[in-house]
Amino acid sequence: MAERRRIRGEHRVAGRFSVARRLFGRPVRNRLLILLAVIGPGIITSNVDNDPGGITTYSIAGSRFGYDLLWLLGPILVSLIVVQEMCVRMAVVTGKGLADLMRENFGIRATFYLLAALLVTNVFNTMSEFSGVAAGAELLGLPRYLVLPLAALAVGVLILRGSYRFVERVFLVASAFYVAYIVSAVLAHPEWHEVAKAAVVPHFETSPTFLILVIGLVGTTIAPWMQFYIQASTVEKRVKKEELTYARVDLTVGSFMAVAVAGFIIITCAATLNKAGIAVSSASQAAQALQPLAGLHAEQLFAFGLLAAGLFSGGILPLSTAYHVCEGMGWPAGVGNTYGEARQFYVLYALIVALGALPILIPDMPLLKIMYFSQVANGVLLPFVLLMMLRLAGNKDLMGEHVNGVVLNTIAYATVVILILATAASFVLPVLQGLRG
Amino acid sequence: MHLSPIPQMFYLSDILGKPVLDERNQQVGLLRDVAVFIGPRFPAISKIRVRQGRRTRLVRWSRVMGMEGRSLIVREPTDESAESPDLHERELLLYRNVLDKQMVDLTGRKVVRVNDVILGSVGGTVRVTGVAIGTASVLRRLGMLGILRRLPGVKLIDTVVPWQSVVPLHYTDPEVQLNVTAERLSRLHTADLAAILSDMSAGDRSRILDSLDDEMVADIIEEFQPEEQAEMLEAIEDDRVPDVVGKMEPDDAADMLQVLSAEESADILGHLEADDAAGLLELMVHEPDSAGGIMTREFVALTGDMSVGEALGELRGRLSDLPTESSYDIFLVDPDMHLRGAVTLRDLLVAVPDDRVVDIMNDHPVHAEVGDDRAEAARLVARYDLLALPVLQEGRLVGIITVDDALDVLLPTEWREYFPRDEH
Repeated sequence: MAERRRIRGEHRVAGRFSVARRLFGRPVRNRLLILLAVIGPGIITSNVDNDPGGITTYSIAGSRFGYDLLWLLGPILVSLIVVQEMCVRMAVVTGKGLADLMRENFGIRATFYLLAALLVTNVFNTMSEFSGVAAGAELLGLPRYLVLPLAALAVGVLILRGSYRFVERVFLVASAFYVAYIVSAVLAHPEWHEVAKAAVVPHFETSPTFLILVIGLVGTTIAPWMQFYIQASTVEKRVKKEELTYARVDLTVGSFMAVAVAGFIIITCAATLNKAGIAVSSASQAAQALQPLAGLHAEQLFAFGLLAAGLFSGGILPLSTAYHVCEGMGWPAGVGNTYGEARQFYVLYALIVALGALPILIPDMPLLKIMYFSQVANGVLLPFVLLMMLRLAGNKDLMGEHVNGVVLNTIAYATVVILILATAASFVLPVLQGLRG
Repeated sequence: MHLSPIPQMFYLSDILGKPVLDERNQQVGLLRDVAVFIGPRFPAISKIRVRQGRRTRLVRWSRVMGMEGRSLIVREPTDESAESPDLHERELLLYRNVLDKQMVDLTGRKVVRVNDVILGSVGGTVRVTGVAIGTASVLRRLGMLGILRRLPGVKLIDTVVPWQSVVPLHYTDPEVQLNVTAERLSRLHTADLAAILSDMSAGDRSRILDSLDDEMVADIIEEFQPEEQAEMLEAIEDDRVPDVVGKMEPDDAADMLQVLSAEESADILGHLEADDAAGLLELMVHEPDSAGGIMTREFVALTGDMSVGEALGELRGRLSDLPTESSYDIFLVDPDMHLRGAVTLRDLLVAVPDDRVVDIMNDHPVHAEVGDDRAEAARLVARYDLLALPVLQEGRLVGIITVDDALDVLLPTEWREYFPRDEH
């Protein structure tokens, strides 16, 4: 009350709709604090991105190839920043989501097939999130048949009942779990000079395993659904053109975090599992990477991480997928609508959750494989999403003075070309080798 | 050559991208877009855009002679430089501005996405008759409708909205957009308009709000809950915010400002007129969940001993500025604003003009204290079927809680949508 009286008249502050309010939902006075503690769409997106599929892919990369794939993280980071910046810029300039823009600019046919592909890919991604929950539960000795339905129900109710923000905060805190990998990496005493060398000197193999892992790594770090997600949340936060710089800082910080986590997981797994000659094929094997930190409790720690990451991403992914499909098809979407108003939205949501959770309940499902291959599916879909994004962000009518520049276009097109080549190679090479052998 | 007439009814998607032929059946290009002239009636096709190689040009509809299959046949001018028309500011491009875009459906009172445009031909003129928004039109454009319709038990009937009921959100000319959109949307009830705006993409929402006047925007914002009101404010140009807040009902404005941060509300208050700002600050002193937090200061109080006739005479002048729900209950106070009684407009109208107001008034009107719980106060309104409940502070009348604000407190959020609040 006292504070409200104090504002009478003389105490006036410029910048009414400060980015701080948008980012925190409450005012933060210290401008420095904003930069230190930005929690915007960028940071949230990259934390959703570090999902069980991501942890698995990084673990496999580290355990199979040691430090060999580390160098890839540099280009991935640059591409991730470039791609997300395009989404944020499109969100700020047009005030529209990605599916919306695709529909308006490429018509219904292209949009339909792309969204159909996204839907299928995201059902696999959802499966991968729930696999994470199941694998985590089993490591903790809990039956997945009990945990999974409960988890699906709990997240669904929490999100549909409008406490999304609360859920978001809880899981963001839980994502501090990734610090465990940083500590574990240090305790595992990796050969830092080798790490440094591997991080800059490219290493390349033409084996299909290697190429598929490359696609998986790119696909999990620059997942197609992330681009839809970050654009939608930027639109929702109503970031203004003048605040584009803040948004860019936010997404850059987020991208660095995502890639740093990826790097430390690979280093940890390389220094522990790869050295011990374990090529990860189960969750309990992947958990051994945390032994330097947690010793006998490595499994519990890893289980907790998988569970939290799976719940968070598994809660958001079906919802955002249903939302984007509806947005593109012109159906009412969003939890603000009743079932009668947005039937397609709720049916899609339920369908994605069901299709994502039910197969996991089948006994002896290879959970880790599901998580891994869903990320490869991401990598295959990504070039198509990127091509559409490039056309949109390069459209002068749409973007005005904020249209894509030359440098940016070059990096983005390079990402597309490399991904397409890698995808094609991973399918063609095994055939060629089969012919030769 | 056989020229078939233009069909009575066809879809825009039928002809888009198809070859455009000349009289000798030679292809002159592909159909890229169709321009229609917006007028008071169903808009008529005025030009077509034809793409030849890398060049796109406009061709007047008057040169279209007919259709061959789904191709338009145009008469090529004998003189090359005869015409090269430009787009008129009141012309709308159906592919670029309408197809696949969002529109407001005035009848259904919602935002819809245009899956196809329906064209009808009457006596040589082809007009836009409506837009298709249903799933059937999506399937037809995907080329799946025919197959699916053959399946047993599948009924696919398209949902069509007549052109007169839709408002495009995208125009070729932003000036025209401003006028047409604002003019047509402002005929909607603010509760409907509010619902429509919340369905729109943020960009479209800002553009629509920009095109409406302050009063209208204020009315629309009042339809939302305080938290959402604060969000709606962000869709408005920063310079306009104080003007809009100044036009809002003080109790709504005060509630909204309390949701904003201290800096934000201070900045808005600083830009308001001194009187308005002072009034809002007084309302903001009360906790939002108290009776004081939901009351309004807009009420009529009469002082002094007067006759019914004199009272009615005075009210005639004073009620014109007040919202409806504040006009029915009239309060009698002493010069220090202590509440002495209440009388309704009906009581005054049925009484004899020479009666003293004090004789017909209710001496002990139901009332609440500013610090009371707002739900308790709202329940009083419901229990005694009041239109307005006086709110007292140390015996002085400081405000009233009107029935609409009481309903907002009592009804669960979902119900509120079925009982849209009246326009003030």
